[in-house]
Amino acid sequence: MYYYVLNPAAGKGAVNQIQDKLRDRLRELGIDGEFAKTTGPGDATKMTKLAIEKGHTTVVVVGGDGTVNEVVNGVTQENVAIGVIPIGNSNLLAQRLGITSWQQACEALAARRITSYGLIAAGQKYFLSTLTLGFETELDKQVEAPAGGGLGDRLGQLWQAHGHAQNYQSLECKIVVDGGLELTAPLFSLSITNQKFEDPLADNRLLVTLVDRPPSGRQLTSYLWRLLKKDEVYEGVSRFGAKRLVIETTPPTGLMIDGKVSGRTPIAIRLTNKQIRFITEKQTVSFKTDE
Amino acid sequence: MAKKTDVFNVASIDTVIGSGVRLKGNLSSDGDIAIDGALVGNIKSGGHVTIGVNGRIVGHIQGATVQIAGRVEGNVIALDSISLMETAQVTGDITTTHLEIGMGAIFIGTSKMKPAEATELSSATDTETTES
Repeated sequence: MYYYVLNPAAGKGAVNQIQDKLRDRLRELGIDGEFAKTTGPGDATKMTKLAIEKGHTTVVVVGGDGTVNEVVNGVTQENVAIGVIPIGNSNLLAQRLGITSWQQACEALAARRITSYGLIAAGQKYFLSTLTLGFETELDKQVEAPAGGGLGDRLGQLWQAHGHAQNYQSLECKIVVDGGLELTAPLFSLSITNQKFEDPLADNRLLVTLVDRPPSGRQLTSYLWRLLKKDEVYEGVSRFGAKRLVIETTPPTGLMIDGKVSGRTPIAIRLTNKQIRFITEKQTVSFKTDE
Repeated sequence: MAKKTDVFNVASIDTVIGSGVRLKGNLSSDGDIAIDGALVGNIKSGGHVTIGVNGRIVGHIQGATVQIAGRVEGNVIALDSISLMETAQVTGDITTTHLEIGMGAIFIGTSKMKPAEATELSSATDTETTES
């Protein structure tokens, strides 16, 4: 039976508006299960551990990236599959799994296509989707999420971001890559993800995108627009793969892991041997378990 | 004169190092490598190596094909071809099967034209010298 972890605060309470429709749809698809609501930070991790102890092998997040991260940090067994119904403010991981709406997520859960992704350790924390630092992290902290999804809201957000970008002071960074290569550069923004999200057939590997100075003029608008829409930003100035990184910045700065401020530089980041199985829209390996 | 966009096709490249980045150590990849920053160390690629107009390399370069628009101090070996663009400045020896040197490129060293299977990093020494 599926275990659903609902974050009632995600997406500014969006789950409360769709909850009945969601449960009806899950019932129609034959994948109804046990529902549990989080009440605060860290709850989703505890609830996931308990669900696994009770024998659940499928945990579905009804929330955003932050809730997914908490659930991932609660997965204690390799046979557990995680599904995502994206209703958060930031749904980058679901997007990377090819899921863009709760309706599509229900279909994907029923189809149960599974792909494994390597877990990444950042200090004592684990993540799958995205770690950012520099401007991108500051942007998430400083710029208010739009009340609605309208163009006016987005333009207001873009205006705030523009002002913030112009005042942002780049950092200096030193990155030791795989214990050997030493990289130094000004750091405007840096993001790290698993390259397998880009190419499901690729090996698990840290994919680093480093922007060493703010884009100028029209490029800046385009860059900010994509950042604010949580689209992938691939046109970084530098981009490379690694298994291990040690990142230092001057001055030290905060990190954002899966949409939550979490830790500071210096930080060691490495790809672990632990795999997390995700129910995904994109099929690379598929099988069904007896549930 | 070569522009950055002439040789830097980010979308199709696996490893891209921008102009503000300085690297120390050896860089190796099975895929393509493009560097527009500074590197003190060797580059080894199973694919295409591009040194952009802002690229500054002190070390040896080895790849299937190598295209240089920046400055290199070291030997360059390519199984297939080496292209020195108009802005290139190479001080070192070149070993490859096909060599192209653009008008205005500076090449100080020796070039050895060899069959692909005979290329080794340490073998870039003797034979004819080309300067332009």
